[in-house]
Amino acid sequence: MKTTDNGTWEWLRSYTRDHGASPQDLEIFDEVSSRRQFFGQVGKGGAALALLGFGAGTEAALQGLFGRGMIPAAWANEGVDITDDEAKKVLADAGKEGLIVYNERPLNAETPAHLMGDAVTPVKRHFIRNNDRVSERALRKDPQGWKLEIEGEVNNKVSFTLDQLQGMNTVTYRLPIECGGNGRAYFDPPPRGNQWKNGAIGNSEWTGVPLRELLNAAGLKSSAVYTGHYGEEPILGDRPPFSRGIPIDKAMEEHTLVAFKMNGEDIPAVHGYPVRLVVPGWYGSTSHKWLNRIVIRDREHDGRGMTGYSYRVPKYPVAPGARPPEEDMVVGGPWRIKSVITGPAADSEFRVGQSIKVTGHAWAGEDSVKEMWVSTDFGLNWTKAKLGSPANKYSWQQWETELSFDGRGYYEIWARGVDTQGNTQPIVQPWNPRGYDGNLVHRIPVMIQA
Amino acid sequence: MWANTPDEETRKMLKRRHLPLWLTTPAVLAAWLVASTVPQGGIITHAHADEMSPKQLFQVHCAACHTIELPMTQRLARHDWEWVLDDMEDYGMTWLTDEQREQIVDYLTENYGRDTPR
Repeated sequence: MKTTDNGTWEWLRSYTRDHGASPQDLEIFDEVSSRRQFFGQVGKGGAALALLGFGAGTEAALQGLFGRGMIPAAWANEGVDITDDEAKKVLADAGKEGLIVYNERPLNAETPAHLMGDAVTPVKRHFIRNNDRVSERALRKDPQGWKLEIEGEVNNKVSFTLDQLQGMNTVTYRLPIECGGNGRAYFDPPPRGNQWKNGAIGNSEWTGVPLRELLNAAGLKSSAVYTGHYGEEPILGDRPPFSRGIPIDKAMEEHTLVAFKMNGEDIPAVHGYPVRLVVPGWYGSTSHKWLNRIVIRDREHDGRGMTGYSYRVPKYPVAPGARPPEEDMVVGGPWRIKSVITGPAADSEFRVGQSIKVTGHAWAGEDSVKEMWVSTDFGLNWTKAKLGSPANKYSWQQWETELSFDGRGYYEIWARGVDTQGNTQPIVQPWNPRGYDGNLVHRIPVMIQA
Repeated sequence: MWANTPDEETRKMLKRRHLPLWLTTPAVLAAWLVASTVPQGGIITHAHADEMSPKQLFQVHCAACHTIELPMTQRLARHDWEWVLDDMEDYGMTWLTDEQREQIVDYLTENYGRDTPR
Protein backbone atom coordinates (compact mmCIF):
# COMPACT_ATOMS: atom_id res chain seq x y z
CA MET A 1 0.00 0.00 0.00
CA LYS A 2 1.31 3.41 -0.91
CA THR A 3 1.14 6.16 1.66
CA THR A 4 1.72 9.79 0.90
CA ASP A 5 3.93 11.98 3.01
CA ASN A 6 0.88 13.86 4.30
CA GLY A 7 -1.00 10.67 5.01
CA THR A 8 1.79 9.43 7.20
CA TRP A 9 1.96 12.70 9.12
CA GLU A 10 -1.78 12.58 9.70
CA TRP A 11 -1.55 9.03 10.87
CA LEU A 12 1.19 9.88 13.35
CA ARG A 13 -0.81 12.91 14.51
CA SER A 14 -3.86 10.80 15.34
CA TYR A 15 -1.68 8.18 16.93
CA THR A 16 -0.04 10.82 19.10
CA ARG A 17 -3.39 12.40 19.99
CA ASP A 18 -4.92 9.04 20.86
CA HIS A 19 -2.01 8.39 23.16
CA GLY A 20 -2.55 11.47 25.23
CA ALA A 21 -0.72 14.34 23.52
CA SER A 22 -2.06 17.68 24.75
CA PRO A 23 -3.61 20.27 22.39
CA GLN A 24 -0.43 22.35 22.82
CA ASP A 25 1.69 19.37 21.79
CA LEU A 26 -0.48 18.90 18.72
CA GLU A 27 -0.03 22.54 17.81
CA ILE A 28 3.72 22.09 17.96
CA PHE A 29 3.35 18.93 15.93
CA ASP A 30 1.45 20.81 13.24
CA GLU A 31 4.00 23.58 13.17
CA VAL A 32 6.93 21.20 12.89
CA SER A 33 5.32 18.98 10.30
CA SER A 34 4.54 21.96 8.09
CA ARG A 35 8.08 23.33 8.23
CA ARG A 36 9.96 21.46 5.56
CA GLN A 37 13.05 23.60 6.00
CA PHE A 38 13.26 22.29 9.52
CA PHE A 39 14.38 18.96 8.14
CA GLY A 40 17.53 20.46 6.77
CA GLN A 41 18.33 22.17 10.05
CA VAL A 42 17.86 19.01 12.04
CA GLY A 43 19.95 17.17 9.50
CA LYS A 44 22.86 19.46 10.37
CA GLY A 45 24.14 16.90 12.77
CA GLY A 46 23.70 14.87 15.86
CA ALA A 47 25.20 17.51 18.10
CA ALA A 48 22.02 19.56 18.51
CA LEU A 49 19.92 16.58 19.44
CA ALA A 50 22.59 15.08 21.60
CA LEU A 51 22.27 18.24 23.70
CA LEU A 52 18.69 17.42 24.49
CA GLY A 53 19.76 14.74 26.89
CA PHE A 54 17.64 11.99 25.45
CA GLY A 55 18.68 8.40 25.96
CA ALA A 56 21.14 6.89 23.54
CA GLY A 57 19.37 6.08 20.32
CA THR A 58 16.42 8.34 20.98
CA GLU A 59 17.95 11.42 19.45
CA ALA A 60 18.85 9.54 16.33
CA ALA A 61 15.31 8.25 16.14
CA LEU A 62 14.12 11.85 16.31
CA GLN A 63 16.60 12.86 13.66
CA GLY A 64 15.27 10.05 11.59
CA LEU A 65 11.75 11.29 12.24
CA PHE A 66 12.50 14.74 10.89
CA GLY A 67 15.32 14.02 8.51
CA ARG A 68 13.24 11.48 6.64
CA GLY A 69 10.01 13.40 6.85
CA MET A 70 8.29 10.32 8.25
CA ILE A 71 8.89 8.44 5.05
CA PRO A 72 9.23 4.79 5.92
CA ALA A 73 12.80 3.90 5.11
CA ALA A 74 11.97 0.33 4.29
CA TRP A 75 9.76 1.32 1.38
CA ALA A 76 12.45 3.39 -0.26
CA ASN A 77 14.47 0.29 -0.96
CA GLU A 78 12.03 -1.48 -3.17
CA GLY A 79 13.24 0.65 -6.03
CA VAL A 80 9.69 1.36 -7.14
CA ASP A 81 8.67 4.74 -5.80
CA ILE A 82 10.86 7.71 -5.12
CA THR A 83 9.84 8.89 -1.67
CA ASP A 84 12.31 11.64 -0.81
CA ASP A 85 10.69 15.02 -1.49
CA GLU A 86 13.83 16.67 -2.81
CA ALA A 87 14.66 13.71 -5.06
CA LYS A 88 11.11 13.62 -6.39
CA LYS A 89 11.20 17.32 -7.12
CA VAL A 90 14.53 17.44 -8.95
CA LEU A 91 13.90 14.26 -10.96
CA ALA A 92 10.61 15.72 -12.17
CA ASP A 93 12.19 19.14 -12.80
CA ALA A 94 14.78 17.57 -15.12
CA GLY A 95 12.24 15.20 -16.72
CA LYS A 96 14.46 12.22 -15.93
CA GLU A 97 13.52 8.93 -17.57
CA GLY A 98 14.78 5.40 -17.22
CA LEU A 99 17.56 6.13 -14.72
CA ILE A 100 18.61 3.60 -12.11
CA VAL A 101 18.41 5.37 -8.74
CA TYR A 102 21.05 4.11 -6.32
CA ASN A 103 20.26 6.48 -3.49
CA GLU A 104 17.69 9.21 -2.92
CA ARG A 105 19.43 11.36 -0.36
CA PRO A 106 21.99 12.24 -1.57
CA LEU A 107 20.50 11.55 -4.98
CA ASN A 108 22.59 9.31 -7.22
CA ALA A 109 21.39 7.71 -10.44
CA GLU A 110 22.84 6.38 -13.67
CA THR A 111 21.57 5.71 -17.17
CA PRO A 112 21.45 2.14 -18.51
CA ALA A 113 23.92 1.77 -21.41
CA HIS A 114 21.23 1.00 -24.01
CA LEU A 115 19.57 4.38 -23.28
CA MET A 116 22.81 6.30 -23.80
CA GLY A 117 22.79 6.26 -27.61
CA ASP A 118 22.49 10.02 -28.20
CA ALA A 119 25.67 11.77 -29.33
CA VAL A 120 24.53 14.77 -27.26
CA THR A 121 23.18 13.48 -23.96
CA PRO A 122 19.67 14.84 -23.38
CA VAL A 123 18.96 16.18 -19.88
CA LYS A 124 16.56 13.32 -19.18
CA ARG A 125 19.36 10.80 -19.74
CA HIS A 126 22.21 12.53 -17.92
CA PHE A 127 23.41 10.70 -14.81
CA ILE A 128 23.15 12.33 -11.38
CA ARG A 129 25.91 12.29 -8.77
CA ASN A 130 25.62 14.15 -5.48
CA ASN A 131 27.72 14.07 -2.34
CA ASP A 132 25.24 16.30 -0.52
CA ARG A 133 21.88 17.96 -1.10
CA VAL A 134 20.59 20.12 -3.94
CA SER A 135 21.03 23.88 -3.56
CA GLU A 136 17.90 25.64 -2.32
CA ARG A 137 18.42 28.43 -4.84
CA ALA A 138 18.43 25.82 -7.59
CA LEU A 139 15.17 24.34 -6.30
CA ARG A 140 13.66 27.84 -6.42
CA LYS A 141 15.33 28.67 -9.77
CA ASP A 142 16.20 32.04 -8.29
CA PRO A 143 19.33 33.75 -9.66
CA GLN A 144 18.77 36.84 -7.44
CA GLY A 145 21.82 37.49 -5.31
CA TRP A 146 23.94 34.77 -6.88
CA LYS A 147 27.53 35.62 -7.69
CA LEU A 148 30.75 33.80 -8.35
CA GLU A 149 33.70 34.98 -6.28
CA ILE A 150 37.30 34.30 -7.19
CA GLU A 151 39.86 34.83 -4.47
CA GLY A 152 43.10 33.47 -3.05
CA GLU A 153 46.36 33.73 -4.99
CA VAL A 154 45.05 36.47 -7.31
CA ASN A 155 45.96 40.12 -7.74
CA ASN A 156 42.34 41.23 -7.40
CA LYS A 157 39.51 39.43 -5.73
CA VAL A 158 36.73 39.53 -8.32
CA SER A 159 33.10 38.51 -8.50
CA PHE A 160 30.66 37.98 -11.35
CA THR A 161 26.87 38.05 -11.44
CA LEU A 162 24.95 35.76 -13.78
CA ASP A 163 24.16 38.75 -16.04
CA GLN A 164 27.83 39.61 -16.23
CA LEU A 165 28.78 36.06 -17.18
CA GLN A 166 26.06 35.89 -19.81
CA GLY A 167 27.26 39.20 -21.24
CA MET A 168 30.77 37.90 -21.84
CA ASN A 169 32.02 36.01 -24.89
CA THR A 170 30.56 32.58 -24.45
CA VAL A 171 31.45 29.25 -26.00
CA THR A 172 29.48 26.03 -26.49
CA TYR A 173 31.11 22.60 -26.49
CA ARG A 174 30.02 18.99 -26.18
CA LEU A 175 31.79 17.89 -23.04
CA PRO A 176 31.84 14.66 -21.05
CA ILE A 177 31.24 14.73 -17.31
CA GLU A 178 31.97 11.34 -15.77
CA CYS A 179 31.91 10.28 -12.15
CA GLY A 180 35.30 9.05 -10.92
CA GLY A 181 33.55 5.88 -9.75
CA ASN A 182 31.92 5.00 -13.08
CA GLY A 183 32.62 1.27 -13.56
CA ARG A 184 33.03 0.55 -9.83
CA ALA A 185 30.50 -2.31 -10.09
CA TYR A 186 33.09 -4.34 -12.00
CA PHE A 187 35.75 -4.18 -9.29
CA ASP A 188 36.42 -7.37 -7.37
CA PRO A 189 36.20 -7.32 -4.38
CA PRO A 190 33.54 -4.59 -4.41
CA PRO A 191 34.84 -1.25 -3.10
CA ARG A 192 32.72 1.19 -1.08
CA GLY A 193 30.49 3.63 -2.91
CA ASN A 194 27.76 3.78 -5.53
CA GLN A 195 27.98 0.65 -7.65
CA TRP A 196 28.08 2.48 -10.97
CA LYS A 197 28.16 0.29 -14.05
CA ASN A 198 28.74 2.17 -17.33
CA GLY A 199 26.20 4.97 -17.15
CA ALA A 200 27.72 7.57 -14.83
CA ILE A 201 28.74 9.68 -17.83
CA GLY A 202 26.97 12.28 -19.90
CA ASN A 203 28.19 14.24 -22.91
CA SER A 204 25.85 17.21 -23.16
CA GLU A 205 26.32 20.58 -24.83
CA TRP A 206 27.55 23.12 -22.29
CA THR A 207 27.52 26.88 -22.80
CA GLY A 208 29.50 29.25 -20.66
CA VAL A 209 32.65 31.28 -20.23
CA PRO A 210 36.08 29.63 -20.20
CA LEU A 211 37.31 29.70 -16.61
CA ARG A 212 40.59 31.20 -17.80
CA GLU A 213 38.81 34.42 -18.82
CA LEU A 214 37.71 34.88 -15.22
CA LEU A 215 41.10 33.90 -13.81
CA ASN A 216 42.79 36.35 -16.16
CA ALA A 217 40.40 39.07 -14.98
CA ALA A 218 41.45 38.33 -11.40
CA GLY A 219 45.12 38.09 -12.36
CA LEU A 220 46.87 34.93 -11.18
CA LYS A 221 49.85 35.42 -8.91
CA SER A 222 52.96 33.38 -9.67
CA SER A 223 52.17 31.42 -6.50
CA ALA A 224 48.92 30.09 -8.01
CA VAL A 225 49.15 26.34 -8.54
CA TYR A 226 45.70 24.88 -7.86
CA THR A 227 42.00 25.75 -7.68
CA GLY A 228 39.52 24.94 -4.90
CA HIS A 229 35.81 24.87 -5.78
CA TYR A 230 32.84 25.63 -3.55
CA GLY A 231 29.10 25.57 -4.16
CA GLU A 232 25.79 26.46 -2.56
CA GLU A 233 24.64 22.93 -1.75
CA PRO A 234 23.54 22.18 1.84
CA ILE A 235 25.85 19.63 3.42
CA LEU A 236 24.65 16.31 4.82
CA GLY A 237 25.89 15.55 8.29
CA ASP A 238 28.34 17.64 10.27
CA ARG A 239 31.32 17.88 7.96
CA PRO A 240 33.16 20.46 5.86
CA PRO A 241 31.76 21.48 2.47
CA PHE A 242 32.62 19.24 -0.44
CA SER A 243 35.44 20.97 -2.32
CA ARG A 244 37.70 19.59 -5.01
CA GLY A 245 40.09 21.40 -7.32
CA ILE A 246 42.32 21.12 -10.36
CA PRO A 247 45.86 22.16 -11.26
CA ILE A 248 46.13 25.69 -12.73
CA ASP A 249 47.12 24.34 -16.17
CA LYS A 250 43.84 22.46 -16.39
CA ALA A 251 41.93 25.48 -15.08
CA MET A 252 43.49 27.59 -17.87
CA GLU A 253 42.64 25.07 -20.59
CA GLU A 254 40.10 26.62 -22.96
CA HIS A 255 37.48 23.85 -22.57
CA THR A 256 37.26 24.21 -18.79
CA LEU A 257 34.01 26.15 -18.52
CA VAL A 258 32.02 28.14 -16.04
CA ALA A 259 28.75 27.00 -17.60
CA PHE A 260 25.23 28.36 -17.31
CA LYS A 261 23.45 26.46 -20.07
CA MET A 262 23.02 22.74 -20.67
CA ASN A 263 21.80 21.80 -24.15
CA GLY A 264 20.81 25.43 -24.72
CA GLU A 265 18.59 25.76 -21.62
CA ASP A 266 19.10 26.93 -18.06
CA ILE A 267 20.91 24.19 -16.15
CA PRO A 268 18.35 22.00 -14.31
CA ALA A 269 18.39 22.22 -10.50
CA VAL A 270 19.98 18.81 -10.03
CA HIS A 271 22.77 19.57 -12.51
CA GLY A 272 23.89 22.79 -10.85
CA TYR A 273 21.61 25.77 -11.52
CA PRO A 274 22.49 28.56 -12.07
CA VAL A 275 26.19 27.95 -12.74
CA ARG A 276 28.53 24.99 -12.57
CA LEU A 277 32.04 24.11 -13.59
CA VAL A 278 32.60 21.71 -16.46
CA VAL A 279 36.08 20.17 -16.32
CA PRO A 280 36.02 17.76 -19.25
CA GLY A 281 38.02 14.53 -19.15
CA TRP A 282 38.53 14.64 -15.36
CA TYR A 283 36.58 13.05 -12.52
CA GLY A 284 33.13 14.64 -12.45
CA SER A 285 33.65 15.79 -8.85
CA THR A 286 35.91 18.56 -10.18
CA SER A 287 32.94 19.94 -12.18
CA HIS A 288 31.39 21.55 -9.10
CA LYS A 289 27.65 22.22 -9.28
CA TRP A 290 25.91 25.29 -7.81
CA LEU A 291 29.32 26.95 -8.01
CA ASN A 292 29.74 30.25 -6.13
CA ARG A 293 33.38 30.47 -5.09
CA ILE A 294 36.76 29.51 -6.46
CA VAL A 295 39.77 29.85 -4.23
CA ILE A 296 43.15 29.89 -5.96
CA ARG A 297 45.65 27.94 -3.89
CA ASP A 298 49.43 28.03 -3.58
CA ARG A 299 49.49 24.25 -3.08
CA GLU A 300 47.40 21.23 -4.01
CA HIS A 301 43.89 21.93 -2.70
CA ASP A 302 42.94 20.12 0.52
CA GLY A 303 39.14 20.44 0.63
CA ARG A 304 36.82 17.53 1.37
CA GLY A 305 37.25 15.09 -1.49
CA MET A 306 40.96 15.86 -1.95
CA THR A 307 42.42 14.08 1.09
CA GLY A 308 42.42 10.63 2.67
CA TYR A 309 41.05 8.04 0.27
CA SER A 310 38.29 10.07 -1.42
CA TYR A 311 38.92 10.54 -5.14
CA ARG A 312 42.45 9.30 -4.54
CA VAL A 313 44.28 6.27 -5.89
CA PRO A 314 47.43 4.42 -4.75
CA LYS A 315 50.65 5.63 -6.36
CA TYR A 316 51.61 2.01 -7.08
CA PRO A 317 49.44 -1.01 -8.02
CA VAL A 318 47.88 -2.75 -5.00
CA ALA A 319 46.50 -6.25 -4.51
CA PRO A 320 42.71 -6.50 -4.80
CA GLY A 321 41.24 -5.74 -1.38
CA ALA A 322 44.40 -4.09 0.00
CA ARG A 323 44.37 -0.63 1.58
CA PRO A 324 47.75 1.08 1.35
CA PRO A 325 48.68 3.74 3.93
CA GLU A 326 47.14 7.17 3.41
CA GLU A 327 50.48 8.77 2.50
CA ASP A 328 50.71 6.43 -0.50
CA MET A 329 47.49 7.79 -2.00
CA VAL A 330 47.50 10.53 -4.67
CA VAL A 331 44.76 12.72 -6.12
CA GLY A 332 42.98 11.16 -9.10
CA GLY A 333 42.02 13.28 -12.06
CA PRO A 334 42.17 12.66 -15.78
CA TRP A 335 40.20 9.73 -17.15
CA ARG A 336 41.75 6.89 -19.16
CA ILE A 337 40.46 5.55 -22.47
CA LYS A 338 36.93 4.20 -22.19
CA SER A 339 34.10 3.02 -24.39
CA VAL A 340 30.51 1.88 -24.04
CA ILE A 341 28.21 -0.26 -26.18
CA THR A 342 24.84 1.50 -26.44
CA GLY A 343 23.28 -1.02 -28.81
CA PRO A 344 22.23 -3.76 -28.79
CA ALA A 345 20.93 -3.89 -25.23
CA ALA A 346 22.32 -6.56 -22.92
CA ASP A 347 20.52 -9.91 -23.23
CA SER A 348 19.07 -9.12 -26.67
CA GLU A 349 18.10 -12.11 -28.82
CA PHE A 350 18.93 -12.50 -32.53
CA ARG A 351 18.72 -15.21 -35.19
CA VAL A 352 21.66 -16.99 -36.78
CA GLY A 353 22.88 -14.89 -39.70
CA GLN A 354 20.87 -11.83 -38.71
CA SER A 355 22.71 -8.56 -39.30
CA ILE A 356 23.23 -6.76 -35.98
CA LYS A 357 24.20 -3.10 -35.79
CA VAL A 358 26.52 -2.42 -32.86
CA THR A 359 26.83 1.20 -31.73
CA GLY A 360 28.57 3.10 -28.98
CA HIS A 361 30.74 5.95 -27.76
CA ALA A 362 34.42 6.17 -26.88
CA TRP A 363 36.42 8.86 -25.08
CA ALA A 364 39.90 9.20 -23.66
CA GLY A 365 40.30 11.83 -20.92
CA GLU A 366 42.89 14.35 -22.11
CA ASP A 367 43.55 12.34 -25.25
CA SER A 368 41.29 11.24 -28.11
CA VAL A 369 40.29 7.84 -29.44
CA LYS A 370 42.20 6.51 -32.47
CA GLU A 371 40.62 3.09 -32.97
CA MET A 372 37.67 0.98 -31.83
CA TRP A 373 37.75 -2.81 -31.90
CA VAL A 374 34.97 -5.33 -31.36
CA SER A 375 35.15 -9.03 -30.43
CA THR A 376 32.44 -11.72 -30.40
CA ASP A 377 34.65 -14.63 -29.24
CA PHE A 378 35.72 -13.47 -25.79
CA GLY A 379 38.67 -11.47 -27.03
CA LEU A 380 40.40 -14.05 -29.23
CA ASN A 381 39.78 -12.05 -32.40
CA TRP A 382 39.09 -8.36 -32.76
CA THR A 383 37.53 -6.51 -35.71
CA LYS A 384 37.94 -2.80 -36.27
CA ALA A 385 34.78 -0.70 -36.00
CA LYS A 386 34.00 2.55 -37.82
CA LEU A 387 34.97 5.48 -35.58
CA GLY A 388 33.84 9.11 -35.93
CA SER A 389 35.76 12.25 -34.98
CA PRO A 390 34.95 14.18 -31.80
CA ALA A 391 32.69 17.23 -32.25
CA ASN A 392 35.36 19.14 -30.32
CA LYS A 393 38.27 18.25 -28.07
CA TYR A 394 37.17 16.01 -25.15
CA SER A 395 33.76 15.11 -26.64
CA TRP A 396 33.06 11.41 -26.85
CA GLN A 397 33.24 9.87 -30.33
CA GLN A 398 30.63 7.65 -31.95
CA TRP A 399 31.52 4.22 -33.34
CA GLU A 400 29.56 1.49 -35.04
CA THR A 401 29.89 -1.81 -36.84
CA GLU A 402 27.69 -4.54 -38.33
CA LEU A 403 28.11 -8.16 -37.36
CA SER A 404 26.27 -11.47 -37.43
CA PHE A 405 26.64 -14.90 -35.80
CA ASP A 406 27.08 -18.17 -37.70
CA GLY A 407 25.63 -20.46 -35.06
CA ARG A 408 23.27 -20.55 -32.10
CA GLY A 409 24.28 -20.05 -28.50
CA TYR A 410 25.36 -17.55 -25.89
CA TYR A 411 27.78 -14.89 -27.08
CA GLU A 412 29.17 -11.62 -25.81
CA ILE A 413 29.93 -8.51 -27.79
CA TRP A 414 33.04 -6.84 -26.43
CA ALA A 415 34.31 -3.37 -27.30
CA ARG A 416 37.65 -1.74 -26.61
CA GLY A 417 39.14 1.56 -27.66
CA VAL A 418 42.72 2.63 -28.33
CA ASP A 419 43.89 6.21 -27.74
CA THR A 420 46.46 8.08 -29.80
CA GLN A 421 49.21 6.92 -27.43
CA GLY A 422 48.28 3.26 -27.98
CA ASN A 423 46.68 2.80 -24.54
CA THR A 424 43.77 0.40 -24.54
CA GLN A 425 41.19 -0.95 -22.08
CA PRO A 426 41.81 -3.91 -19.76
CA ILE A 427 39.78 -7.15 -19.71
CA VAL A 428 40.44 -7.53 -15.99
CA GLN A 429 39.96 -4.42 -13.86
CA PRO A 430 43.05 -3.22 -11.96
CA TRP A 431 41.95 -2.61 -8.37
CA ASN A 432 42.15 0.40 -6.03
CA PRO A 433 40.56 0.87 -2.59
CA ARG A 434 37.68 3.14 -3.58
CA GLY A 435 37.02 1.91 -7.10
CA TYR A 436 38.11 4.82 -9.29
CA ASP A 437 39.38 4.85 -12.90
CA GLY A 438 37.27 1.85 -13.92
CA ASN A 439 37.74 1.38 -17.66
CA LEU A 440 37.07 -2.27 -18.26
CA VAL A 441 36.18 -3.54 -21.72
CA HIS A 442 32.39 -3.28 -21.96
CA ARG A 443 30.69 -6.65 -22.54
CA ILE A 444 27.14 -7.19 -23.81
CA PRO A 445 25.66 -10.72 -23.59
CA VAL A 446 23.41 -11.79 -26.50
CA MET A 447 21.50 -15.00 -27.26
CA ILE A 448 21.51 -16.32 -30.82
CA GLN A 449 18.62 -18.59 -31.82
CA ALA A 450 18.80 -21.12 -34.65
CA MET B 1 -2.10 8.28 29.24
CA TRP B 2 1.41 7.44 28.20
CA ALA B 3 2.72 4.21 29.51
CA ASN B 4 6.04 5.72 30.53
CA THR B 5 6.23 9.42 31.08
CA PRO B 6 9.53 11.28 31.28
CA ASP B 7 10.65 11.89 34.83
CA GLU B 8 10.24 15.29 36.46
CA GLU B 9 13.79 16.38 35.71
CA THR B 10 13.43 15.61 32.01
CA ARG B 11 10.10 17.42 31.89
CA LYS B 12 11.68 20.53 33.39
CA MET B 13 14.59 20.40 30.99
CA LEU B 14 12.26 20.01 28.02
CA LYS B 15 10.10 22.89 29.19
CA ARG B 16 13.14 25.12 29.47
CA ARG B 17 14.05 24.23 25.91
CA HIS B 18 10.49 24.66 24.66
CA LEU B 19 10.49 21.24 23.17
CA PRO B 20 7.39 19.15 22.63
CA LEU B 21 7.13 16.66 25.41
CA TRP B 22 5.35 14.05 23.35
CA LEU B 23 8.47 13.58 21.28
CA THR B 24 10.08 11.71 24.14
CA THR B 25 7.34 9.21 24.71
CA PRO B 26 7.78 5.58 23.88
CA ALA B 27 4.45 5.77 22.08
CA VAL B 28 5.78 8.22 19.52
CA LEU B 29 9.01 6.37 19.08
CA ALA B 30 7.10 3.15 18.72
CA ALA B 31 4.90 4.81 16.13
CA TRP B 32 7.90 5.95 14.22
CA LEU B 33 9.60 2.61 14.36
CA VAL B 34 6.47 0.85 13.26
CA ALA B 35 6.02 3.30 10.43
CA SER B 36 9.59 2.81 9.35
CA THR B 37 9.63 -0.95 9.36
CA VAL B 38 6.10 -2.28 8.84
CA PRO B 39 3.99 -1.46 5.78
CA GLN B 40 0.82 0.42 6.62
CA GLY B 41 -1.85 -2.01 7.66
CA GLY B 42 0.71 -4.24 9.32
CA ILE B 43 0.56 -5.32 12.91
CA ILE B 44 1.42 -2.59 15.37
CA THR B 45 3.78 -3.89 17.99
CA HIS B 46 5.33 -2.19 20.96
CA ALA B 47 8.91 -1.27 20.36
CA HIS B 48 11.03 0.87 22.61
CA ALA B 49 13.88 2.97 21.31
CA ASP B 50 16.32 1.38 23.69
CA GLU B 51 15.33 -2.11 22.60
CA MET B 52 15.94 -1.67 18.91
CA SER B 53 16.98 -4.63 16.82
CA PRO B 54 20.29 -4.32 14.96
CA LYS B 55 18.30 -3.72 11.78
CA GLN B 56 16.39 -0.88 13.42
CA LEU B 57 19.63 0.56 14.79
CA PHE B 58 21.01 0.59 11.25
CA GLN B 59 17.85 2.12 9.76
CA VAL B 60 17.34 4.77 12.40
CA HIS B 61 20.91 5.93 12.92
CA CYS B 62 22.06 5.85 9.30
CA ALA B 63 18.88 7.40 7.88
CA ALA B 64 19.44 10.40 10.13
CA CYS B 65 21.52 11.99 7.37
CA HIS B 66 21.05 9.89 4.23
CA THR B 67 18.72 7.29 2.83
CA ILE B 68 19.91 3.73 3.21
CA GLU B 69 19.58 2.26 -0.25
CA LEU B 70 23.27 2.98 -0.78
CA PRO B 71 24.58 0.95 2.16
CA MET B 72 22.24 -1.85 1.13
CA THR B 73 23.90 -2.05 -2.29
CA GLN B 74 27.35 -2.49 -0.72
CA ARG B 75 29.06 -5.87 -0.31
CA LEU B 76 31.84 -5.13 2.13
CA ALA B 77 34.12 -7.10 4.39
CA ARG B 78 33.90 -6.33 8.09
CA HIS B 79 37.04 -4.17 8.07
CA ASP B 80 35.49 -2.09 5.27
CA TRP B 81 32.26 -1.61 7.23
CA GLU B 82 34.41 -0.52 10.20
CA TRP B 83 36.08 1.95 7.84
CA VAL B 84 32.69 3.28 6.70
CA LEU B 85 31.57 3.74 10.32
CA ASP B 86 34.86 5.55 11.10
CA ASP B 87 34.11 7.98 8.28
CA MET B 88 30.49 8.43 9.33
CA GLU B 89 31.65 9.29 12.86
CA ASP B 90 33.96 11.88 11.30
CA TYR B 91 30.93 13.20 9.43
CA GLY B 92 29.03 13.85 12.64
CA MET B 93 27.57 10.50 13.69
CA THR B 94 28.83 11.21 17.16
CA TRP B 95 25.99 9.87 19.25
CA LEU B 96 26.53 6.10 18.81
CA THR B 97 27.60 4.07 21.80
CA ASP B 98 30.38 1.54 21.22
CA GLU B 99 27.85 -1.23 21.65
CA GLN B 100 25.44 0.26 19.11
CA ARG B 101 28.26 0.70 16.64
CA GLU B 102 29.29 -2.91 17.07
CA GLN B 103 25.71 -4.08 16.52
CA ILE B 104 25.41 -2.02 13.33
CA VAL B 105 28.73 -3.32 11.98
CA ASP B 106 27.66 -6.89 12.79
CA TYR B 107 24.34 -6.36 11.04
CA LEU B 108 25.91 -4.83 7.94
CA THR B 109 28.61 -7.48 7.69
CA GLU B 110 26.05 -10.24 8.02
CA ASN B 111 23.55 -8.84 5.55
CA TYR B 112 25.69 -6.79 3.17
CA GLY B 113 28.99 -8.61 3.38
CA ARG B 114 31.24 -10.05 0.72
CA ASP B 115 29.34 -13.36 0.78
CA THR B 116 26.00 -11.75 -0.06
CA PRO B 117 25.33 -12.02 -3.81
CA ARG B 118 25.51 -8.65 -5.60
